[in-house]
Amino acid sequence: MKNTKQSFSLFRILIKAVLFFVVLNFLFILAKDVPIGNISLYNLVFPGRSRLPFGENPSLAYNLSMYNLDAMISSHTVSSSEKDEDYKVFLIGDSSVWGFLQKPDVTLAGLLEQKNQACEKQPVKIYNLGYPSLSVLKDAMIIEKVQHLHPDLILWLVTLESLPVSTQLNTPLVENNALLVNKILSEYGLHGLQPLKTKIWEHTLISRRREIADLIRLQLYGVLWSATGIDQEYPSQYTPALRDFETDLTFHEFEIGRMDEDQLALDIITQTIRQHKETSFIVINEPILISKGRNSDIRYNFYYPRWAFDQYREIIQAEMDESGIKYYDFWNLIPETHFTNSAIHLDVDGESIFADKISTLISENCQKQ
Amino acid sequence: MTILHIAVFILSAWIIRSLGERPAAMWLIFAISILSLFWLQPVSPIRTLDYWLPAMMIALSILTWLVINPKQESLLANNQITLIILPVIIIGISLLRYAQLSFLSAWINPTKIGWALLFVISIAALVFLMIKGNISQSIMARCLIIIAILIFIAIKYEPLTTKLSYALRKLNHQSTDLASAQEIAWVGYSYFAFRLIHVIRDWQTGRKISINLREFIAYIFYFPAIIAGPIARIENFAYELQNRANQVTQAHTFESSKRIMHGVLCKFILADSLSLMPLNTTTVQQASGSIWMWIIIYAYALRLYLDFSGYTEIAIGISGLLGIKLPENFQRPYLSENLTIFWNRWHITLTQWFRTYYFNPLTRFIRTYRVQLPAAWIIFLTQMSTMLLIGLWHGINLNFIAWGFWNGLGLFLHNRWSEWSKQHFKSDNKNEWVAGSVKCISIFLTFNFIALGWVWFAMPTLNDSIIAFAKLFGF
Repeated sequence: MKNTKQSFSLFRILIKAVLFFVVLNFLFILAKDVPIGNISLYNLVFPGRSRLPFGENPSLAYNLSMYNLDAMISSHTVSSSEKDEDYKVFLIGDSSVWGFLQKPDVTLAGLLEQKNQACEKQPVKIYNLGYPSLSVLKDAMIIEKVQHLHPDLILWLVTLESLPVSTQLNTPLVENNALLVNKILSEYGLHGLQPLKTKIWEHTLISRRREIADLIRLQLYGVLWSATGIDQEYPSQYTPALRDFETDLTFHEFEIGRMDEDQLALDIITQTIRQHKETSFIVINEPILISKGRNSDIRYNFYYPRWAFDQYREIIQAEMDESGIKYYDFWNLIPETHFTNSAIHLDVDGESIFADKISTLISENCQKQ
Repeated sequence: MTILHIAVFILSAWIIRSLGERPAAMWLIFAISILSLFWLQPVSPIRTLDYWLPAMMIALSILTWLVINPKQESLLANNQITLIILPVIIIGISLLRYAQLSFLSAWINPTKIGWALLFVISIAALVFLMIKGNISQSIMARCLIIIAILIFIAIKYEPLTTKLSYALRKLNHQSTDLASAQEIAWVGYSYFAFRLIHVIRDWQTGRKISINLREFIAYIFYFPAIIAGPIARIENFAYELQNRANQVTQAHTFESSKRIMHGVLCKFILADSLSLMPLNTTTVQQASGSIWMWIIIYAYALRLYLDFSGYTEIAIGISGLLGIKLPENFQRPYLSENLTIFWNRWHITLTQWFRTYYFNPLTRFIRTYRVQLPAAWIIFLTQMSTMLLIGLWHGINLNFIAWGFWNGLGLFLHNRWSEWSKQHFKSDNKNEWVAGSVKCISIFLTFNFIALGWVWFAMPTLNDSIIAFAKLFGF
């Protein structure tokens, strides 16, 4: 009799626990739009990060790759930039903007910040909002998420590798932000890309456990970020970018010799800029490595055969002119010796040359909207 | 121990308890303990080492059991089923090598059947010799203690462990260039050695315990406590084992489940989160100011406690589900008012072990020695050497010696201060506020002394430790 009573009581507890768990998961589905990532210790207990969280080796980088854009932006100094007295310049782009292998103060944004520029007597404040993946859709997502911080000028650095339509949805940050991606595709009228499929259970607590764990981890890494100022692994040696190539003329799935404009996601750039009329935009074709090695007569670098990049430059220039978007082409600005481990990553001297150029651009385009 | 191990152990405990007082329950505890020993041993780059280490532990346990039992022919007859099952398990595991199951290679890397048979025959011959031959049990007991300590030194002294790895690789015809101390990770050996020495020393001092081989093996390799203890005393464990059915009540089950959940929270959520702020050479070099260094030190101190106490709670909880009460290992140590209290609350079963088998005998020896030493000297010698030994138990290097010295000196100074203050101050302070403040300050000072001590513990070299101290104090 006693045993039956005990089993019954245990059974009731189990049922209650299961019910509680189901209800909790259901509540998470209802709260799928709640920006939990906005809860952050950065800019409050810890200083904000100089660039968005990204880390392939968290234990050495004191940083991690995550997918919650709200949390990423909340951990950034940009989130504490509510002050209106600054002229706020946001740098958007790929790993070259983020600053692979470079300490925060010698990235493009870091060097620009050190120039202490002013715009109509307002101090110019530069924010590094680059993120290491090649997709302009990912850039559009970041732009959408930081609009509430009222940027005065957005410098959008692009390269051909971030433009093929076929690769736009393939980066982890895009794949794991279906709600935001679909919102952008629908509101910006980007019909060339298929919306991402979302399933109801993807919003449950169980499915979001990794996201929540990453949020907590990001806060914990705040201690070592504050203690060391380190946010990426700096290897003592790295493999330099390739200078010698095979006789390969292919570029993604493009027909060799013909850069099809429809296969480039330039509409993401034009529509994003159109969508955010209150902000000034400048689109910049970022510098690439122009190799002098074997088969460099047919390829500029690991990413680009010459035919593809040459045609792309003409296409983007025409598209930007047609859309009335300020556009600058700095593709050949940096000598080959200033590239590090990739055809778009610069060393400090390369960043410095680039920063001088961008600094002039900011001065020329400086006007408060 | 991973979440998978814990889940399997909980399930095993549930099955065993559902068997009640049936003999099968006891056999299951025995079998699961043996199999867990092999399962928990990580696969080593040295071929088949992860098979041989547990096998050797089983062999040493059988020999120890023979030592502590009276030499009688009936001993084998009364334990014949266990004596059959043990070699069957050892040979059976080696047969997995031929099962062609790829997933097993991540768990165990067994030896060839011929070697397993040779090993079993050798142990059987030794057992036969011990029963029938003239091998003195007391000599055998001494030999077993020496073997246990020598193995301990071999796996805790890194240069020796590297040499051992080199020798084992050579024996296995593997590249000796890759030999490293990390390859010989003998999971659970420390606790195994403590239990073995405890049993032998008790037997040597005349404390007899009647226990069959099955229960003895279950005690030595009790699956919830293989990796991180606690170290139960054999007579208590035997009592708990025999009376476990009385402990399987709803209240016990709730309490045990609570302990498991609390342990999982401490270990896998809190301690693992704090491990993101490690105290190591890199972070010490990179840390930019003393405040952050203090935060890193505190995070490490908390992590160490939560990690270890979490494991202990899981072990106590799983064991509680079986109805077997294991001793407590931690009692809010960081809230201790002085070092003596701290060492009575931190890793309790280990300190009790050292007190019983080292500190007390040494104190007795010195006190009865023909040359009489002053009391302060006796306290210094016994406390310091005990703490040095506890330090060496963690690893034989200068940093663990420094950690032992730090704590030994702390204990001695506290002892002297207590003696002195007893004579000079009246301790019965009636003012609650003053008493509370003194208590808070004492806890704060004790915690910080212990936390600073962890610098020696966590850093790989004395030089790194000194750099850490310099940063902590802003130099």
